[in-house]
Amino acid sequence: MKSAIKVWRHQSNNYRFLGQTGKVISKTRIIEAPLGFKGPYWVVLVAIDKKTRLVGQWSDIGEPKIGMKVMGVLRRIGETGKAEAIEYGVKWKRAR
Amino acid sequence: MFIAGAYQTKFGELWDKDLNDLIVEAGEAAIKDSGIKRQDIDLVLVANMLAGNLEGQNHLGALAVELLGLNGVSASRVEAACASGGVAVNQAVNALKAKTAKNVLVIGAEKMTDKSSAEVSSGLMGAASEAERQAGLTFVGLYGLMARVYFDRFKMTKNDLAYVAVKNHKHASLNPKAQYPFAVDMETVLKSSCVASPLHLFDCSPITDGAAAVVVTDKARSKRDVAVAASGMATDSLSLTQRESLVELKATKLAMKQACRQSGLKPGDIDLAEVHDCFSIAEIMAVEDLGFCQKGEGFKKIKAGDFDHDGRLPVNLSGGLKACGHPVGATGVKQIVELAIQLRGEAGQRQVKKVNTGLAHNVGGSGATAVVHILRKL
Repeated sequence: MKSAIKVWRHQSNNYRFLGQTGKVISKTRIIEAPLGFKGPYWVVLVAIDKKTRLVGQWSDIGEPKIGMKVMGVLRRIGETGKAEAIEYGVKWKRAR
Repeated sequence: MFIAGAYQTKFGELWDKDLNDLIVEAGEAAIKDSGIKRQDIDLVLVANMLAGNLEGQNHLGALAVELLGLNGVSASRVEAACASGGVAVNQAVNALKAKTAKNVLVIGAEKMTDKSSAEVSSGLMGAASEAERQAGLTFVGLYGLMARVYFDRFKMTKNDLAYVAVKNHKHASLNPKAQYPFAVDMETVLKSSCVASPLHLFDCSPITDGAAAVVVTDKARSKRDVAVAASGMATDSLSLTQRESLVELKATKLAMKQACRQSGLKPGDIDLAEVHDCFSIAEIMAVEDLGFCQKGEGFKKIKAGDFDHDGRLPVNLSGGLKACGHPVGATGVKQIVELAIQLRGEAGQRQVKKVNTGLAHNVGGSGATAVVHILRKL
């Protein structure tokens, strides 16, 4: 659970890859989730270019596949804290 | 530098013991084993990662000196995630080299089983990056991402991975202090439930309570003492996404390079090793990155028995993190204890014949910190 101020401070960084496209280079299906998350869900490792890689949750029907072209979309991430600040960030779906 | 005293508590779900009990048991026993007088201990280092999170207890250096009746002595906590133990031993060696201490007591201790798996999992993610936490990753997930890339690159299968757990459980069956002192078969490993694909329960080290302690000293006093031939430590990016390669831990390679330079030894000179098998894929990468075999060959050599008790280079005779258990702050110290016991010839039924040189490899996070120690028989 994060404070409202922390959620606010993270905004610009959280939205950095919104609308970006990349390629799935690895994936894992989390069954046993940490606090604040409910499994199972897929997490993908995406390469934006040769230097930039990032991790994010999968937000599409069907499974992610290695080599699949994907796009960053805005989604709610994590749970609402006591301050009721809803945190948004980028998750990944198949680029069409 | 020399390891004079060495002791490990039983690892496991120790419901009747709290963090203080573990610190006292390990600390007292290591001092006694060293033959060094209590009043000659001049530095105490406590390796621990999660006591602040899980126990609400910080300030562990002061806690340990109070519990051991060493008030007045210099003391502090050392934290480097799962490499806390290895880093604490490295810091002890550095203090001796700098001549700021003569006899250092290093205690690694962790109390983990009072909390739920989700709470422990979230606490451990403190060793990862903010982006990795935001993605809902766990450490199993982070190593799962590495395993997936390794699978595709080197045509490894889940069956190949399973040999790591089978080997380490077989070793643990000879270690009464292991959390799981019993052998398991391939079927048990392969049928265990998935935690984070492609890794299953038996690919993962468990949640464990336990402690281990060593006394590191500047002079050898007895034939039982073991020389510290090298103490190398290196780092890489905290974030998995910023690594050069996803199928190796560069920090391990760098720490090994330092250790070889300091000792004048090569990977081929090592007689036995305790490596950081927090997940089965981690042991496979470790034996490759330490130079015990070529990249992409690790799983084949494990399958072929190269690293078995009777193989060319026994790896994880204690049972490793997988079967001996992984009380995170204690693990790196336990590896040193295991090597010291083997090099002294006091390992009982798991004793290896003709051992002169042992290597300990301890990793923090998904590979951000790595420590390599080489110990030698006097």
